[in-house]
Amino acid sequence: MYYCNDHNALNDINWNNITIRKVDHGLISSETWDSVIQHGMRVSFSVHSSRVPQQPPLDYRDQLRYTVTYLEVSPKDRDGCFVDERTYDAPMEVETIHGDTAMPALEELRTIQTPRYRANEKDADAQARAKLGPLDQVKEISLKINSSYLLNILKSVIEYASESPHGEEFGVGMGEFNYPYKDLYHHMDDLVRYRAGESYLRAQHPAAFNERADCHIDLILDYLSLQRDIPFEKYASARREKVSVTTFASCWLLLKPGTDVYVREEDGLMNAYIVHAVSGGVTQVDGKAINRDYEVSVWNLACDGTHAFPEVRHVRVPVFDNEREVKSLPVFPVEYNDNFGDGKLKQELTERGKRYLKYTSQPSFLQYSGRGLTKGVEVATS
Amino acid sequence: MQYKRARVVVAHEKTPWISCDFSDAHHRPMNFSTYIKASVRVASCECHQCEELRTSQGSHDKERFGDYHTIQPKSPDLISDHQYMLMASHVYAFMLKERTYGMLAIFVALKLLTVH
Repeated sequence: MYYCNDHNALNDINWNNITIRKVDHGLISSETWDSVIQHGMRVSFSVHSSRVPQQPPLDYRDQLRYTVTYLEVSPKDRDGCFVDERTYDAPMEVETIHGDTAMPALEELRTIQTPRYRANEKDADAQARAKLGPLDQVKEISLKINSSYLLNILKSVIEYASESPHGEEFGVGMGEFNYPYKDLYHHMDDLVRYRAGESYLRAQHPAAFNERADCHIDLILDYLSLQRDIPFEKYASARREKVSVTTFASCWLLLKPGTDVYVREEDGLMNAYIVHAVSGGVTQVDGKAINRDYEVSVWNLACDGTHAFPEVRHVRVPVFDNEREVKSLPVFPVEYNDNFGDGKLKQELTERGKRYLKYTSQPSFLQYSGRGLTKGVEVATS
Repeated sequence: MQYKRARVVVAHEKTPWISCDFSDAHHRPMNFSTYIKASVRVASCECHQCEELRTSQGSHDKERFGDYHTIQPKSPDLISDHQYMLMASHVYAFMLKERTYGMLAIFVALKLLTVH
């Protein structure tokens, strides 16, 4: 590069407004460069006039401003999520009057996926309800119970939960329930009993507690009965009939975790189990209702020769159309059989259980006649 | 197949399910206590009044099905009808004539000859 025609560069060199750097070593003083540089030395060289001109200095207003960033924190997200940023001329003041600290007793939380978000700040507050656009999709729905009155009553009745009771995100421990709110529907009767004064717990609570609790129980019962995709009313009315029927969509309402059920075996006999969990049924995928076979986890007791303990199996309830008699399902609550019979099955199963434990808890020599034996296939063991 | 006075030995302590495979494997005694306990919680109201009442009465909360995880067959007085009702329907039986294992339903005509 030659600077002989560049007046500014020549001027810079003349006034030592230059930067010389020995490659892989560092800067060489612009005052002494002509005595330091030797023949064959690799240097980088630049004149200051060739630099990109600096931005003109910003003008500053003579003031101090206060920017406040709001991060919404929750037990699930302790670091918080950005929600707003506002700038003020005056410093933040500490509010001592708790004018707006009241929380709603219940909050429905919906997450919407939208291809194009249109903010409508002007009348967002004035709108009575949010609007779901034609291209918007509901991704998640949950119900948060802020009311300690209601949550404490639920905590006193939920002992076998559909949704992780010890989890850190959802369930009765956190007071947040995922749609379709299985634990809430399964314990609606308990809330109604509390409201009607049929719960021993009500007598332990002061009148002021019960007054607020009744109010919040009414709110949640109204909310749950208004869910048009959950056929609770139909299930409740069918329960009162002698020959009860169910639709596929409402099967899960019959199968409350922790309750006794009969499982219909391939040989036609019925065995007693306890419901653990139910998955499948009618689920929403990308805004469309998909029917999947129910998979019901149930448990009974088995003996390994020393002691008996719970053993789990899974029972499938395939998709069916229209209505079906509850008693004809592969798994159904015991009362649909026992309430209309003489309790003979229960008695037979109890007697059989005594024999099972007698035969399995010690080596037994037995004689049998008839069918009822499945041959096994021996497998190699190491 | 119809059996007539066939003789079998039931000895679950020898864990025959390890060396014998059945299509309906759910009769295999596998302990799922931990899996079940994950869904069970102690139901109790956590309000101030109830907490105080529990402390003053010295009452201890009991977990649902807490006594279903280790049932001792040698203490029949402690076993409830509900626990008996939930017992499995089949046992692993060694058929003496055929020298192989079978899954035997307790409901069939079984006669206990001796207990070792």
